[in-house]
Amino acid sequence: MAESMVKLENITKQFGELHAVDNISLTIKQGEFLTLLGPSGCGKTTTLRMIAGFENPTSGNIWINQALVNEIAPYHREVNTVFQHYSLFPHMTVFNNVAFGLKMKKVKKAEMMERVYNVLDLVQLKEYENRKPNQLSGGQQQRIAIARAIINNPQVLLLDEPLGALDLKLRKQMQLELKHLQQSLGITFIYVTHDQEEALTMSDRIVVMNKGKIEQVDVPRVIYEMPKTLFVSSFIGDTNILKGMVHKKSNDELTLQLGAEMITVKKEPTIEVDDHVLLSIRPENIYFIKETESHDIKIPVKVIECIYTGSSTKVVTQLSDGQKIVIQSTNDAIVTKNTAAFLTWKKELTVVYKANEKEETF
Amino acid sequence: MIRTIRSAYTMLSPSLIWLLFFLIIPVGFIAVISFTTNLGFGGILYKFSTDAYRLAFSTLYAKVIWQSIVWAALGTFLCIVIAYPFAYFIANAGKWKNMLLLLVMVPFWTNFLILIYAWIILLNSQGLINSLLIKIGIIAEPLTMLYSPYAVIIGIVYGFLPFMILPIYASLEQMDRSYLEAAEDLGATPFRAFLKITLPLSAPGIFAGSLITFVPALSVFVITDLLTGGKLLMVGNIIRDAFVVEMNWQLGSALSLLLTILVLISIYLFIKFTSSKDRNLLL
Repeated sequence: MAESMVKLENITKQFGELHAVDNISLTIKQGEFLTLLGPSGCGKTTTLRMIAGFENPTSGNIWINQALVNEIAPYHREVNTVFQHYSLFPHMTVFNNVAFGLKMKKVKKAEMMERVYNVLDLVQLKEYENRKPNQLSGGQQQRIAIARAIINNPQVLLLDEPLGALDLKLRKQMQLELKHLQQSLGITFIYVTHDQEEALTMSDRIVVMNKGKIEQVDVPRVIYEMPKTLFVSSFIGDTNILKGMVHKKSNDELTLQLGAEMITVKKEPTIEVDDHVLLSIRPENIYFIKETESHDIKIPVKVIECIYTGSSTKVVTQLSDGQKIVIQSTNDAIVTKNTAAFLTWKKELTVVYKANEKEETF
Repeated sequence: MIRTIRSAYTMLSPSLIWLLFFLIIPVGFIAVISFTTNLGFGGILYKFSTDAYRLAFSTLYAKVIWQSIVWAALGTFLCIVIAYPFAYFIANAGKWKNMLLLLVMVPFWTNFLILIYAWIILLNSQGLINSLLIKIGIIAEPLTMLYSPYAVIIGIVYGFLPFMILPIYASLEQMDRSYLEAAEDLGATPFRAFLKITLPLSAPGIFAGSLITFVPALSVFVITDLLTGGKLLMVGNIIRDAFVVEMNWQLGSALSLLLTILVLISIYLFIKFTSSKDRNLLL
């Protein structure tokens, strides 16, 4: 059983009146790749900075490797950070940037040289040791920032949107490299991003944050398929949010009225008969069926628009009550614009939320 | 391309004309006069001679030039020592920044002579500082602060401190704070982060400040006259004396030219050892 490496206990961070982080608790396991995901201003970077020691929590405790670090200065914490804009020291060569951490720990020169060359080798930039940061490309600077941060063998590596400044292709490549690096080093990674695809690709677990609070913590697959809150389902990937009303409740199923149709979904404990609900169904989980086929869920719609997007076709349809449903369909779909069609999806892949007044505006 | 160069010169022409008439031509005069023959009482015989330079490099004058360099360098060094913490404080003063910068600039709006006379009142043996020190019992007899060579240091530091503070402040201000976080993240205590990151990154500000302090400090003569009572001669004094007292225009011109060359060498060294971005700190 993996040990807890970082533990956040009821952490709150206030900037004046603003609760940047609002009473979050979280345990991060040794060797885990954990991503803090959320829109800007959700508190993910503040959380990271509190773990690094650059900010002190207003209340709550932070534990790193079973030790309470609330009062420990950043330079005494066994964590290192890859900064969003790299923050490579502009007046030092690549070698000296990477060696900085070892020099601060007064590592002997021979050992220092060896370790610097090893880590430069690891990021494939050995021949750039005498360059200054401004003589490197964005991707190279990125690698040096990683090399500089891992040379002290930290127990935890904190990464603050490290790929944000790179172009898409390089970003995809670096995502895999980072993931492989993390697996080979066995270091715990805490990764901050607002890019949900990046989070899904790289993470062992994802923490979805919104307005300083944690919305859901789980493995990528559960986050994507079983989003616990409406925020998670709309923030992660594309989804259809539909309004409905509970018609009947049985032991393990709810019967909902959606437009003029009735569908059955899994039961949610907090939802009662006559409640207004919101359903989330991913576009790629919806299929067209023939009128003659029979399914648990079979919804008649009108096709409004077909948009070819390369690998798939996006079809916009409309229910009898005017609500729109977007379907990500294969390119050989048999539907045409302005015709009637029938939709189905698996009831396990329908996520139902109780609608409160605020979210009804969705 | 030719059009843009031409329009650039057109726009620059007022300042170019100014420089031509009030800098280049006068310096040309000085250069020419320094190689003419002295007729005495300011008389100039247009016959080539290097007498003035021989005199300028004679022990007496060379000593004064060297002495000026040493005192100006000392004053500049003290300016760095005093200005750096001050600039550092302002750069980190948050919303008080502009207020503090304004205070640094205030002495500029007061006549320089008045400022120096104020120092005479403060420094003389019956002055404010001596009276205060005697009253609280630190000293029994008044210290000779005024009319000693050291007084020139007070004048230089006081007069040119803002020239040192502003470029150092500018270099500290434009430094990205995240470098310090990165250093601390990698195990540097705040003090070591300062030595390894802040200090080297603000070095261009120190260089720029030193240049614009050292150059005018080299040629002060009002400060030396008033504060040291003529006990210290700097290049500025002997140039003035050569022209006004001895009426030896050749010597005055030669010394002026040597001073100009000294300044040009300092500027050349500054440009050579700084990047183009850091050179903006001079402006």
